Amino acid sequence: MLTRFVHAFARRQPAQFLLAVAGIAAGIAVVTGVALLRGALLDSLDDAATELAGTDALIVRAERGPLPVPRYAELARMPGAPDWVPVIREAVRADGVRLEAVGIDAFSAARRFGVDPAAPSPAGRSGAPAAGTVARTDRATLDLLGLRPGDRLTLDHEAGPVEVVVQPLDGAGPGLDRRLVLDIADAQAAFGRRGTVDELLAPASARRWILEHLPEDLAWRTADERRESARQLTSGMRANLAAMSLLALATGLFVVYSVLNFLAVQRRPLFATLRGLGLTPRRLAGLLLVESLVLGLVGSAIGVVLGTALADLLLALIADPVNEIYGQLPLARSDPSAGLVLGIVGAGLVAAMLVAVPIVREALDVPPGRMAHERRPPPLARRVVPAASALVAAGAAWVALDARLVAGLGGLFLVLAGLLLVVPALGFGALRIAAAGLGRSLPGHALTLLGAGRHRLAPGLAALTLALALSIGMGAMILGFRTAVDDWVAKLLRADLYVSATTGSLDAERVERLSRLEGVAAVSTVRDLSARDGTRVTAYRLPEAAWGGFQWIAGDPESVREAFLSGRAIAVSEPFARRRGLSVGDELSVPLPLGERKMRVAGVFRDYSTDRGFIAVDASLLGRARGPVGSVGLYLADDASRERVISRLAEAGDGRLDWITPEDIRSQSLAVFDRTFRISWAMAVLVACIALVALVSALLAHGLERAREYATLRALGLTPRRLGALVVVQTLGLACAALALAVPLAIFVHYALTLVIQPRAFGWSLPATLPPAAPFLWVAPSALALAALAGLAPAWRVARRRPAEALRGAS
Amino acid sequence: MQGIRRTFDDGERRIRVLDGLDLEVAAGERVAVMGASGSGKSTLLHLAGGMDLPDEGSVELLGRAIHALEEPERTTYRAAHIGLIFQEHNLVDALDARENLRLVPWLTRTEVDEERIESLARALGVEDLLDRRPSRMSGGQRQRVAIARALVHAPRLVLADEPTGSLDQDTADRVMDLLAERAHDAGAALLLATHSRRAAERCDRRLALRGGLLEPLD
Repeated sequence: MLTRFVHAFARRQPAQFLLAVAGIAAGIAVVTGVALLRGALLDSLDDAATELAGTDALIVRAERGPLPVPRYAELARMPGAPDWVPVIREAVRADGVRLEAVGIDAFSAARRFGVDPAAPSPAGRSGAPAAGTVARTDRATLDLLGLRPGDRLTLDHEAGPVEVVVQPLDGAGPGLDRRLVLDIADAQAAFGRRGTVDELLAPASARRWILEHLPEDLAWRTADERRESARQLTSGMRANLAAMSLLALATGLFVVYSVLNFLAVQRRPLFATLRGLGLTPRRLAGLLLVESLVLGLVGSAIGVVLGTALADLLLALIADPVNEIYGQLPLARSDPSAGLVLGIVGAGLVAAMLVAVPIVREALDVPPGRMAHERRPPPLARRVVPAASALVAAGAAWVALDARLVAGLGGLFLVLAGLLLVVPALGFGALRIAAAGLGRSLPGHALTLLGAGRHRLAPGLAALTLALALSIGMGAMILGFRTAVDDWVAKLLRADLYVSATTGSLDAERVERLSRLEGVAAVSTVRDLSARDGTRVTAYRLPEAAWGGFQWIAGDPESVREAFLSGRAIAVSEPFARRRGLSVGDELSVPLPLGERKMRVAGVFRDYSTDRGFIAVDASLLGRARGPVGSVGLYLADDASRERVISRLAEAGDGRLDWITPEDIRSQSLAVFDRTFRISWAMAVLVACIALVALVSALLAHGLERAREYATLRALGLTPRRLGALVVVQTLGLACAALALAVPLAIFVHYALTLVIQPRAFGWSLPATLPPAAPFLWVAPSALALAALAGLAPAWRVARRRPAEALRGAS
Repeated sequence: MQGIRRTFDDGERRIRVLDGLDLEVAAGERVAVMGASGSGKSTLLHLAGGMDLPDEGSVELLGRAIHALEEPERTTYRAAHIGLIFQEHNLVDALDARENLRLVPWLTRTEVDEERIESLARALGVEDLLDRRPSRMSGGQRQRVAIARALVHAPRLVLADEPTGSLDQDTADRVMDLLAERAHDAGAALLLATHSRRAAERCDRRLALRGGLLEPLD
């Protein structure tokens, strides 16, 4: 009998059934998409290395940029050197699918897969032998691209299109999914990479040799260590994504609540009749919970499928910045594991059941036989103030007492939940005042009538307020952060030009020659060193002019400089100080090439370049191990022309030098910044869209509940057009109330993200400036326009019926 | 109303509720239509008020064929000339009694006659309830406010659909007396759909609706 009810409900109310399914599916899709994205950030980073040389493969890279082939040859000639596998990796696209082209030498490929990647291919689809560069990949990738062995494929690469002939790579594991293996010589030629490789792979047995003989300017890690490093590096980003996905799910639950509520209201007479006929409360509760379960199951299943597709879209947004910031290219896994699917579907079911609880309680309140019963809940404010106060206090206490990121996010959730509880009471209070002010106009009546349905509309209003507050607050934080980064880069870059080697690093002799270039008054050098534990040490040689670029968060600038230059002390970036709990005066063991050395922290400086942080030391501490440097800053004489110095650089560099102006670095930094935060905007838009669905379903429920009033108004003389306008005004009224309440909430979100979440997630602080006005100005008109559009569906629904039909339906 | 036919589709079969019905109500006349449940009384009132359209036939009010008007125009015409009373009072819960009485002038975009509101409220004995919301009134009080709302704009025709159906006998008698008197005082015709013979007795003419047609009851 119960299943017949559920079936009848889906058949008779397809639109509502779909809306409820859409609500769950939207929330679950975002959670699934983000879960897969988080997995992709961790799992696929070094899968290729694992696949090519085993899980314990050792990966050798240059400190900065690719490794020149002569350097590789030199390493290969060293006594006892392991059998290196040189690799180049390039991001490409084929038919819009993001792939990685991996070039390895033929011998290594033959040893691993039993094939030579460059071997002539058999006949293609046309039957004729295919010639050209051969790219091998697993069957799954071939299927994904709709290709058969021997087919030609054009790869989009930044250097131009590259045509390859695809062949299967049997025996390849999942690590080569969406990766194309090419012969390294072919890859170098095709991608304009002649003379360089990205990394050298060595078997685990080479560990001792590497420990003893690997030159200091080369870094090495195992694939597992790199994965762990990536896990740490991306922890802040992943935590933020997880928080956003949970918010999307929470907003999706508002939709489910609104729709289930709508359906409960619609069937109240049926419940009353069934209760009158003897249906026990337990069985009625069972009916509603089974309905929620079915919706949860269907919605979750669809959500997992949609989320899998969404993951690819989100990955496309995040891949470039991850590659730019962390130097690693994540590739999507489009196959969620069975465990993940079960976990997400289970979460969807539990969420749907939880949402159903208040609706079940309300349905059980319907007295048997009383068709027209309308539940009159106590005033919103009286019900929620104690709970709201408790949530806000608990959230604030959690943030204050626990310095971890999870506490920051959890506390923020609790505070937001508490504030959202009072949003409906405040919103409808404001609407009542507005209605009084508007008097007997259509908007005045519209808002007055809206007030009667406040308990029904409260979830939709709260969902919309949350979404708007998050969109605006996050937008304000991002723009504020962008301004801070721009300001930081502008102050930091004191040199007139920055020079680096096109490949590898700059040796001392070349640095010396640069410092003697006509027009160059001084040079600064930067050399990055990475210790085995991942600690990054940067050795600076800085002229006086460069010191003004530091923004000191702790420590007196003059005494920091004096202690730093004397080699007695170090300075640390803010993220490093925060992660290690360091402050000025603390001692730290600094891993230097000549051994570890305990040194005092003289100052903490602002830095947004890396969230893992680093130690700044004076280059003199490197002593004889000073070695090659990554980049050189040129400080020009007052009367020198930058253009002339550039032309001298071109002559002196012999094609082996790259240079960039501070202005270009600044614009490139902001471009990277903007790409990094694209995903945040995308998530905010997703949440806002889900919230609008919540609002529409709440309005539909409201329209149904007030059907008698609307029918009466139509009968008494309200034209369809004016009734439609009345409903749209109600939607706009709700949107205005949500916006008005979202503004203070958005300011709170802005400061919470800026002052609590950013420092805990990434280690850096942001200036506590006023939130920029732009997000408020962007979001407000968009929200109102979308709300007006969202109101059209319920408006059409109530206005299209003849008064007689509406009166019959309402009675 | 002339040659009115109206059929409904209940999903499985078509039901002809009115089958060539004719009805003429003179100005100021009070007509009661009685009939079994489902005989089409409410449909007849809906058609008379232009809230529904006949499949065949014509409906004229004050010489104007309202069935031929476009929906907005028909709505406006109804608002101006017809007062409506429903079985379940259908007052707007969000508005107090005074605002409910001001609703029709607002819908017809006419000035509110506060004096008329006060005098109607006094005549119907609800002058002390004007600032009260419907949810805080008894059933009889609500129906009296609904009668005041139906008469507030001096309509030429009042359509009352089972106005006493949800009231006890004493209250129903009082409400019906008030409705008949006030409609008569206002010079409005009254078309009353009812099951109650006692209510029908307050009207000048009584008709029975059977088989989709009207026939005199007396």
